[in-house]
Amino acid sequence: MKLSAAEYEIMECVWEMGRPVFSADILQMLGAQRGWKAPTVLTFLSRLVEKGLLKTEKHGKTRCYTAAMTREAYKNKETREFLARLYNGSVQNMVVCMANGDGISEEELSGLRAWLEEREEE
Amino acid sequence: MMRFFWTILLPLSAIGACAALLLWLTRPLLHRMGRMQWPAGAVLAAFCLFVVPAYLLFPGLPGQDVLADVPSSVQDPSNSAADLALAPSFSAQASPFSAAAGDLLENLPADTAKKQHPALAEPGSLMMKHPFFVQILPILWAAGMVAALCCSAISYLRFAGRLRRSSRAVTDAAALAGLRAAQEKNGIKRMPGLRSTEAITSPLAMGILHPCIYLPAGIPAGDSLNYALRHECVHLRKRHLFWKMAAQGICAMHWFNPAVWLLGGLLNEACEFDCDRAVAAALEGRQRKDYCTALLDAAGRGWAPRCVSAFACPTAVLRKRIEAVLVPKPRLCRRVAAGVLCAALVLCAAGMTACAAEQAAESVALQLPQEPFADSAASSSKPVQSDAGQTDPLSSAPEEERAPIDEDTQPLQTGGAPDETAVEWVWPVPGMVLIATNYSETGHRGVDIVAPRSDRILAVKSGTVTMAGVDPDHWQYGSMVQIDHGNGCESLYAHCSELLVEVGDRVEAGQEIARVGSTGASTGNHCHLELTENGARIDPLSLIPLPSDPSSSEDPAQTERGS
Repeated sequence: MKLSAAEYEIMECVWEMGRPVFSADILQMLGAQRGWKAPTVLTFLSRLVEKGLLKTEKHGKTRCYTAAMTREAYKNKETREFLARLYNGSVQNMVVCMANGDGISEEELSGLRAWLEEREEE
Repeated sequence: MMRFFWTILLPLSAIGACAALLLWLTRPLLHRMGRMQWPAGAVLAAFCLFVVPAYLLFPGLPGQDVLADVPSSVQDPSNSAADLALAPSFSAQASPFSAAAGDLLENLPADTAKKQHPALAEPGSLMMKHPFFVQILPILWAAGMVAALCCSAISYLRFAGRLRRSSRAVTDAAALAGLRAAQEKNGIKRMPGLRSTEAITSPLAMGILHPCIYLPAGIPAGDSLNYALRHECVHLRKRHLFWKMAAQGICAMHWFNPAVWLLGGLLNEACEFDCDRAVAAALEGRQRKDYCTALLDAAGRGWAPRCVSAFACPTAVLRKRIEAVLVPKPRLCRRVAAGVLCAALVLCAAGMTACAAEQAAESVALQLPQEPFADSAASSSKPVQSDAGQTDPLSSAPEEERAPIDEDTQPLQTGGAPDETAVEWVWPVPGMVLIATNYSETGHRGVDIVAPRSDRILAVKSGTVTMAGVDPDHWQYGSMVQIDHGNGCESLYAHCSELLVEVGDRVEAGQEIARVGSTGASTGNHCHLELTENGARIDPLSLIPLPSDPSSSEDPAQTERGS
């Protein structure tokens, strides 16, 4: 999933703080430099929730947001998606991969494992 | 490039596409009969058909004989210059064919006796019907190829760079030991690099010059890891990375052909099956099952949940791979039969397509503007240069030269002595009798006389200049001169580089009127000469005698003769 520069900055903020954040925190930390208003920050935060990077809970009147994944996990996920996109393009014709599992679901995989176990060794 | 595209690349594409489709269609047959898959070698052979002309691979092609008979001026276009200019509307008239022509041909020395190529008479050339189409497609192809190559290169470099940045070298002793064992077992001289990254879920190998194996982070040391390393090392030993890269280049060359991309996918699959076979050959019983478990571990959940395979669902492919590892082969004879049948099928079809493609290419080649006349010394032709540079009007017997479009350098003379009767005609390009393309009543409506640039062009007969310049309606002629000789007789000289007369000038036979060039629809320096008699174009050689051989003893006569 791709984050815009602003969204990434907000995520950095959240990761730095290490605790559930409120939109006011973001506004205070970044709003001044970037010239964001409260609704803008709220929009960014809700977008990040949609993308799965933040979890949100309502605390009375306010909402607080927590990071859904660590910075490392995000970087790995982003790299994985980037490589997968390239691999599905033309890179698979230029590298050798032991087993490309594109499109195999967990059920199918466990089905294959069970089938393998049943087979007699010959 | 235009010629390469139409006469070489497209036939290659057709032949390769035929082979690729057949390989793909015979996959189920091969699997059912012999539980086999096409080996990577067979797929690579099919790729060869995309780049190597078929007559090199199939020497007995019938089409090749025709090509061999075609004079080198067509096959090797470096020594002919023809134009396909559309003439102003003249009604067709059959040229006089002299009965002496046949006799003359027999009297010619052996090295100049040629067969006329049947395709010469084909009317309605490709170029004339769709000039823009014929010229623009090769350019589009070249642009597409460059774009495909750049895309591949950029994707690969980005992939490699990002993977390398997100990975770190493996330091685990067990893993390194496993790699060393796999390397020794496969006889690979140089130790490939080993890196670990969280960004992939399956082991992969990359890099032709500095191969490196990437492992998914978290893969435990053990049998699974060792099998993965052996699998990747077999890839490195068999140089699959190199072949796949070469195949990618061929795909870029034939980017417009979906069959070549299909073949690329087949190659990927074939490489994996070959590797599985090679690893499993050294395993027994339980070990093979463990290897299959490693395969399934590697499949994992994939990088992106998207079924992009053009062949079968990845599940089916994995199942086939496991079966190929676990189940022993059926009887040898059955396998051999299956293999031979399918290979024969593919070869036959590829051979037949090659025939058809070569024939098509050849007919297209004759319809394209020929390549520039490189040097008159090429091939067997020898331009006849008279020492005085003057033409010699010959005896009055007009010859219809039925020689092919190759250069016929020997002047056809029925008699040696110059005729005393007034011969009005003057050879227009003194000293040069290299005929690149002869007159044809259904095709080329004039005679192409090959000559170096800026050679003199003389008026064949006296008359008045009616046209000197470029006719916008007939741009193909380029810079041209048209002379009216009276009595419905006109001559036209096209593709000149320089004009020395103006409209309305009165010229004498043998007067210099222009210089040889390559303007208009011409790709080589030559003079295109047309002769019209009573409103209809005729073969100029039927009226204008060729100059004599310079070795003849008679003096070249003066060219100044009045009409």
